[in-house]
Amino acid sequence: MHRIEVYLKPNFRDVAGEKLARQILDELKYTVKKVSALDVYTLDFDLPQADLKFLGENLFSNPLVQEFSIDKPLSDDSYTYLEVGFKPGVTDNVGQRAKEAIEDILKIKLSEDKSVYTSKKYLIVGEGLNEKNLETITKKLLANELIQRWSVGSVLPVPRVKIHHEPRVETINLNVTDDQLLKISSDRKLALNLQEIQKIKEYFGSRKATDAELEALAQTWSEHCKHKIFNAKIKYNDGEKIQEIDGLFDTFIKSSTKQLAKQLSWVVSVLWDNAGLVRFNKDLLLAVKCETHNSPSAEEPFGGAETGIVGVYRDIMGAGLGCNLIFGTYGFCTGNPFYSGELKPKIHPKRLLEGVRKGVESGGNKSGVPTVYGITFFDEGYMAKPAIFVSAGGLIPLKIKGKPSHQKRADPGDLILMAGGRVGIDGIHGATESSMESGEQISSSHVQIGDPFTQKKLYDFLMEARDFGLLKCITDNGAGGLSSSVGEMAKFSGGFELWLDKVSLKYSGLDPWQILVSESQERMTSAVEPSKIEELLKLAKKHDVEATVVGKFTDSRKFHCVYKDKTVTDLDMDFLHNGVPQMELEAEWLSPEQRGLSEPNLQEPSDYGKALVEVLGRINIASKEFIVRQFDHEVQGKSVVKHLVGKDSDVFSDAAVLRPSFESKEGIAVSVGINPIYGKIDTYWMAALALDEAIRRIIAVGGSLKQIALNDNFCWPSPLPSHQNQNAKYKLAQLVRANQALYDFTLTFKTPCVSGKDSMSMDGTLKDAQGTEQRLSALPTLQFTAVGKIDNVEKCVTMDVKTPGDFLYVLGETRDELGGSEYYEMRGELGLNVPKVDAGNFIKLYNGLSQAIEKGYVKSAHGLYKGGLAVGLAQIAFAGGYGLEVDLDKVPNDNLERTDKILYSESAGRFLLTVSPENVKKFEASLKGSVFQKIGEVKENETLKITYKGKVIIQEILHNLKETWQKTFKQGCAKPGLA
Amino acid sequence: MTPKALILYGYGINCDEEVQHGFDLTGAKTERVHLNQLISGEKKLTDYQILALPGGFSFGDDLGAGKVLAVKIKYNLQDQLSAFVEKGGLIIGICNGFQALVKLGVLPGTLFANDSGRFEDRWVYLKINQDSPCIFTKGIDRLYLPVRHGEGKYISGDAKLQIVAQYVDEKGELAGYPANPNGSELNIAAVCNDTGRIFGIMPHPDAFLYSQNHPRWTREKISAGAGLKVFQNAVEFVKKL
Repeated sequence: MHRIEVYLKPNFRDVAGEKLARQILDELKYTVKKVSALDVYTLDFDLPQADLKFLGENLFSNPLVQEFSIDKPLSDDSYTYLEVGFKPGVTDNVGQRAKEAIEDILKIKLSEDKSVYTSKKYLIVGEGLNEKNLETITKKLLANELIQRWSVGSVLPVPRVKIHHEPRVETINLNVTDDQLLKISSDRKLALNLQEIQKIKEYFGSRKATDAELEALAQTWSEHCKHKIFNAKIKYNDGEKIQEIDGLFDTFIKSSTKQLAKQLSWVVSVLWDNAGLVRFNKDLLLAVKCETHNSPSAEEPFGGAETGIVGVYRDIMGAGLGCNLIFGTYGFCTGNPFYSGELKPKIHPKRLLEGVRKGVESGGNKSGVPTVYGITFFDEGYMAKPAIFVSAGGLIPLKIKGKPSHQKRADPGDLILMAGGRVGIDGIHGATESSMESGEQISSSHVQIGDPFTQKKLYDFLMEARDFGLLKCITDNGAGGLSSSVGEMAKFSGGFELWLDKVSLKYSGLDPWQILVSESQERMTSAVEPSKIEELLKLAKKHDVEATVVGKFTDSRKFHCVYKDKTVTDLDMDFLHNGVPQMELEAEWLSPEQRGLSEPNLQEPSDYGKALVEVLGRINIASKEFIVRQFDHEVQGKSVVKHLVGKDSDVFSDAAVLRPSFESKEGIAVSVGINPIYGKIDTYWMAALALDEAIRRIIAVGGSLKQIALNDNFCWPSPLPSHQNQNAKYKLAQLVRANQALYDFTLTFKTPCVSGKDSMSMDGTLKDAQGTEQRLSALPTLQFTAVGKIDNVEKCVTMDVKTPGDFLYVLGETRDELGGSEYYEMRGELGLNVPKVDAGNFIKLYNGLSQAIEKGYVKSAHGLYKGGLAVGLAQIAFAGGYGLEVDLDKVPNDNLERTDKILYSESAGRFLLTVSPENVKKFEASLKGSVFQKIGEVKENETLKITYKGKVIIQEILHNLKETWQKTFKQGCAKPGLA
Repeated sequence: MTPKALILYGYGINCDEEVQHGFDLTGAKTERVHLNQLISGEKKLTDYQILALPGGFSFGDDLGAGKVLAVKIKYNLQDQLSAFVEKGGLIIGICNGFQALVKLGVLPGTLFANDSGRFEDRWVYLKINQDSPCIFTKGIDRLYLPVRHGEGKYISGDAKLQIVAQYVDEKGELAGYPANPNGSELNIAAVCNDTGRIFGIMPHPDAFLYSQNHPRWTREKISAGAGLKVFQNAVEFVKKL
């Protein structure tokens, strides 16, 4: 074994060390003079000194900048130091790459058990730091004990994985009492309820079940895979009558989408494949899919978000015959990053946000896919469980080798090919008990680190395989692993035989059931005709991608797995896929009035300028430029409207626009709509408003209602009754109402949900000041991702004001709708009058605006969302760098007699536009019949000046407004004001 | 003669398509070639006049950006590469490609972690050294392009330098962060070798092939993608040989 330490030569800055030293001081208040972060490589095999020296110079160090040491400390170890490394079995990407590079350089082949491990060594120079302080530094800032381990003042042992275990198949007797059945379910972490496991007992009759059979059933029947809540029979009491709903998904989502698919010729393949597919133009289909990775991100934010984004990319790679990736988006709903209250979250929201941000940065940037757009939303409810959204889009030619690319199938005789990463124990639910060397526990359960590099190679390989017509069917290995991917594909052929001993493993010692359900990352499964397998494997070799035939499709109607010639599962496909009993649930709505909500009676602010400054700096309004800057949002060279726009390219656009094909001027607009606060009043309007926001953002950049496709993404607190979950019926009613709105407004706007996702356990526990565990549920959260077709990207507009002398217009009516508004929240109120979506009038207005933009009459367009008119005016002005003079009296409103209501109402369906004087007539003509009004003018100055009833109520310098808006997150999540 | 350009791809390189498109638009005959096609001998470097190493995250940036790609090339393709250079072939390395070129030793100096300690995507102004022998930047005075990197700080290590481009502010003056997005010595954004035929640049000319790529095209008159000229220069040079 050898150990190589690498560090900077004396005259170079250690940026990472400086950052850490600052963090230690800021967050832990320890006086630290200096921190040095060394890279350590441990080679778990022998090499001659000369080779090690050569590797040190040519691989491990950057010789101009760094120096290294072999088998001895690089630095004086009289410093206090600590070392952080991975736990056994956690993906060590750098170590793996180092091993491959050593093989290349030395022209040797290192066997499976010879590994390179990486770790970080931190030398800390401080005053009076004891071991406990160092432990705190490590836990709070450097390591996550789920995947990492550390030592203080000593060298870490290597995280070698050795499972002293002979793979075996266990059989389980199900002819036992109900209590024992439930014990089987909980001991094995199957998450099956009594009704379900009784059904399984009945199926097996006198025969014993194997562990693999139970695991396969549990995976397939899981809430995650079967969406049992969305398919449940619901008795819904809306306060007036009781209604039976036979599945929310069928009744509301599927039903709406099916109706729209009949009306809209561009809808191609919806609600069954890995992603929805719509026609983009005469040559291409567009795939779009959203995902969440909440639970993994709650435990290991970086790994959770990284595997989330690369996971949703695999959904796109597995849509139709496999799509090229063209964009990703992010959505981070966490606790307040500056939270200083008494609750003790396992991971502070600041660290969590930085972790998930970093995860999307790594997964997105290294995949070569631009992260074009996204949102953040902060609320205390997310402190136990954050909502971490990722979505992605892709393209595929309409036809592959003459066949429609959205159709896929697997026939009896076709081979099952697994390609990409290897299978390990790390991706198994709750598989923590494996016997490890020296009593070690392997990294736990579903917490994983992604390897976007391996996935990128896999992607390059699969896209070529697709173009050569080598793939007949393809799907992602996500939840449930091979059990789910092969099980799903075998629905086409009617059965399969899977050879579990052929699956390539990260290390030996896995039981067959573990191989079957492991969710190890970066794998895709395909169906391949036997005549094409040779060509396909050759192509895999070209791309240095591991690809293995692991079975074949049959028409046996059996879910048949074999390990070393022995059958380990012999299940009927029909029972597996259709056997799960339907859940029966009750829902009970309580109206906002019944819950005691009312409109507050507030004093008007004495200084409206000051109020605006305060609103702009609030966490849910302020700039999050630091997030966007660290995402590659323009790789592939196709960006048209970026996430950041304006004079200084630093204000968020309404939506992003891409021109996906160099050959055409057609574009895709991408946006997201979300605002969970409204759900505190009524989830019906919360859903309607999220949908309207997503659509309106697309309209604002130049899209139109002619073609907008949506993805619905529900993150809900559990609506399943239990003694801890007393108001489950109300939560379910909230879910019913959100679905009703989804149905109503997708149909009215003609914007189908082509794919979706639900995550139904947004609950968790955290300690309060007294150390008592508290249950905390997140707000019911619904995010819509929208993709809109743009006919000609050269017609797109952005939100920033462009030219002094242009007229300022507001479109749509401002009503007494401040319930759930940012302004009320700032004043400590919720209110009752939640905004409503008046779809009929909105559609007319949106169509008029789309036309006006297409004709080139509009210089800038911006929707009004959170923060209302006041925030919108400030943002378009400082984005454009020109002043505005605004007359509030002119704003069309519903007899609002209060300035604050006009400024801060969050009525939906509204826009701010600027129009140059020569186009005013034509512009106004195209909006005839809709509510709109000229309310001011763009000025050649630096002031936002707003008057009402003849009095100047706001007169603020743009620079100051912008600075306030930027200041909150100027240092990212570090405390404002600290350098 | 129609110049033949080899665009390297595979192993996490990810700007290969836009670089290929840049050469396509300017009249080269282009081909994306996987690194392993060169290593296996299926394709030969010397059959091309231009070699492009696009941006991306080759080998995940693990062990340092461009490092493992450089190792792969050095220990598998050194002879081919030397022959290509001796024949007078043109090489352009963009971002990760530039990082690989310095780590290969084909270009002087090295690239290291940004002073900001983070990856950044940001458009920057470049001033082109008019005395540079660089073939790719002939006739270009200023450029506005995005950087998208975490390891772009140029360190010369006292090597003799051919500076091709420097980060400047809006007014064209050398300036600190964010104009110089990574803390590069002398604000260096691009360098070349003595013959001007091997060129490494951190910002992406491939990200500005169309006027709509410009972050402010909705507010300023942008006539064309300014990045194209870089590819065109290479193509024109080879055509005249």
